[in-house]
Amino acid sequence: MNAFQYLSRNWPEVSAKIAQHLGMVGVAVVASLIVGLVLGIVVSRPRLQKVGRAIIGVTGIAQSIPSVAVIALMFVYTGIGPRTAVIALSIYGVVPILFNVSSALLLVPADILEAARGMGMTPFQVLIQIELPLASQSIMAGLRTAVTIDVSTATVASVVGAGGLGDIIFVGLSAVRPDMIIAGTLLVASIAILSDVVLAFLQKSVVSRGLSIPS
Amino acid sequence: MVGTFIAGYGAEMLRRTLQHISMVGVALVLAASIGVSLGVVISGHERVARWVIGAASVLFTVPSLALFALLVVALAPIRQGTGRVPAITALTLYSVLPIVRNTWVALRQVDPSTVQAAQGMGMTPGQVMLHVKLPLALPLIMAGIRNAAVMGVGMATIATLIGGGGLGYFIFEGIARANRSMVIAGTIAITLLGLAVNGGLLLAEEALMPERRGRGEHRR
Amino acid sequence: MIELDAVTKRYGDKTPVDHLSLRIPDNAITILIGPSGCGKTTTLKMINRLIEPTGGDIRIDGRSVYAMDPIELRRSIGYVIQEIGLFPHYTVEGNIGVVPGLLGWDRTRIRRRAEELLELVNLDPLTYLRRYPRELSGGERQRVGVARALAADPRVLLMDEPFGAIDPINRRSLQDFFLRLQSELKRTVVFVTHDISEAVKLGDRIAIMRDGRLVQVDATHALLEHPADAFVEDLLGAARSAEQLLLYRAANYVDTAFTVMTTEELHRSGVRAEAPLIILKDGAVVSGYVEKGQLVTCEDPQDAVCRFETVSGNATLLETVATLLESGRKRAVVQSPDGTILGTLSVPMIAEIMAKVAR
Repeated sequence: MNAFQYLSRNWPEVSAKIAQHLGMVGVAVVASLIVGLVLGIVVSRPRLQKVGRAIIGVTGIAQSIPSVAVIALMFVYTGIGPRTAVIALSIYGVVPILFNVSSALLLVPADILEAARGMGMTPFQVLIQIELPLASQSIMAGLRTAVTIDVSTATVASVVGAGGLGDIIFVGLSAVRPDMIIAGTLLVASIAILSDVVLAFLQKSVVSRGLSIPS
Repeated sequence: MVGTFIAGYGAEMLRRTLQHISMVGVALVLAASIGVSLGVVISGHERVARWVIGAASVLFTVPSLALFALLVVALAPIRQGTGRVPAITALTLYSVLPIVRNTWVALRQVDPSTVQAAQGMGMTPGQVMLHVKLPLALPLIMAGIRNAAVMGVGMATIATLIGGGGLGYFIFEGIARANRSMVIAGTIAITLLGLAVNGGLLLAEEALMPERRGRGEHRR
Repeated sequence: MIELDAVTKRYGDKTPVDHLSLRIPDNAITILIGPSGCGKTTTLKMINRLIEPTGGDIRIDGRSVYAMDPIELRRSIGYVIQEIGLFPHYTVEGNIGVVPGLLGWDRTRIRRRAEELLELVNLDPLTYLRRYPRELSGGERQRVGVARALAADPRVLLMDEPFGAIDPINRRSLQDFFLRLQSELKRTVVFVTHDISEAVKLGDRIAIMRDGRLVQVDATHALLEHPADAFVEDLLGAARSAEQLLLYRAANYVDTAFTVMTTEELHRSGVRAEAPLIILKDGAVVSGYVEKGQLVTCEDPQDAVCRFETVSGNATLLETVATLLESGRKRAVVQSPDGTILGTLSVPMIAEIMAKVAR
């Protein structure tokens, strides 16, 4: 049997796996985004800047921890199942997002902030109209990274019983069924590439034109 | 509990650590050779460069397990379907992107007036590349290699699933056996290895390039 | 009028501004100048409360700035800094429209205002409205920055070394541009600079600061003629040299002793010994002048009428001298762009000014 035959014969189960996979990634990414954004904003406020730089340092190191390890550690506490995977992915996804949000916000030029304040913007208006838009390029990049990592890690998460497309690949590996392996890998790769393309497109439309013009 | 575990499995952990390091090491050397050479080759050609980097980016997006598994299938006909070969091949393929991208960007960022001065002195393009451009691009290239190395340590964790050995064993076995200490020990070992590799390469960079001004930390 | 009343700013044991009292008149450019660390920028930023003072009061038209909401205060004052701080993610129109947007103007009104302002600063609206800051040259950015500060039509403009980051050649043209703008708009401008030539060229009044205190404040030409002490003399330094003086504005050095009459009035007035300089103006047209005391010696008043050269108030003394020498006329009548007669100048007068001021 080749991969396509496998897919057509087992489509109901396969599509369920796809849904599981997307569900895990989706929930985790949203959670990471919210936490990462809020923390990133809080940590880049003028009074908390020392804390901010420390956190950037820590997240830098945290990026050395392989994603699989986070899932494994989570397993230690919450056992088997998709919940473990989602929690682990959410935590892990915060890292690239927080890193990008806080470093981008800290990099907003001081003179622009001064001009904004001097013109009579409230601190909230400065955040929404100036700081976040100027950091948007970096924030979107962080989001893309988080999504890519999450799609990849969710595949491996099947070892803790999380479901998803990893199941197909693992079964295929242990039963030595090339058709399943190829089917699983192609599906996962397609999802990964597609979501990255969609996010790249989103990035282009969200980030102001004025920021990407070569000077 | 973790302590007793480490005491009990100490020798095994050491063995697997060495396996892990050698996998990543070989992959890194291969990826660096391919990546830097590729970066040099495309540095003069804008269109080709965007293509090559685009292709490498796509490859990079593919989930690691998927790539590992695909290689298992692909290499099966020549009886290299399991073990270190597919593992190292996959790691190499992943590590190429950060290295190629950093090399290309670094070469582009070399101050054109420096290059012109070198050409004016009578250097051939090859000499310019070797004696001027590459040395000046070295910090960024090293950062790319370092990035790839740390990533590689993480990714090699999965190699155990296709018979490649390495510290990932403790994590997956630990999950299968519901042995918490094993999982924690494995995680700590991999994390420490990642930090050690990062730190070690940073020291190597300092040693090789003492005249570098600023730190130029490029994480992506 | 802006009144600074014993304004003080203390940080721990440092006192960047120490009981500073200063009156800033309306519709004129007041310069704050002094060596590095003298407190001029801190003072400026206390006017729009970007920095809150430790003591004293600041009143605008009698109202204390502390009685107002700082955000609203800042929206009613134009603020230009050295790096300009144009928002890179907004177009030129977007940048200019920021304060109007904060004030709730609708889009059409903002767009019209932006077009108006771009024309005022000599940038073609069609080309520039949709451009982004990265696409502009330094001088263009500076002008957009000024336009942005004027968007909500503030009466007060605070400027902190706005031309400091520009190369000297473009700085000159930006300064000339700003002078033309000011003669049209006549805002109350508080301008911080460390460049004495810029201060003398642009300022109607100059306030010299040192170590947080006011050393001397006076109209520009008065300051140049009578520096209060060695420190001020030193600061004015090169600005008091003969060559520098020639670059300064005719409007600041005119002889204001004159009366204006129509030709008819001249003929009716008859011979008068103590007649001051008379400038003949019929309707909007200036037709001639009569030198002081000349009426006595002439039978027909018409014989005493002399021809003259017209010179803009913003022209330099050098240009005035050149114009007079070229044309052979004895006097130049100095006018502002809207036609108001400011006074007269002659070559001997200018020579005398130079002699008085030069070291």
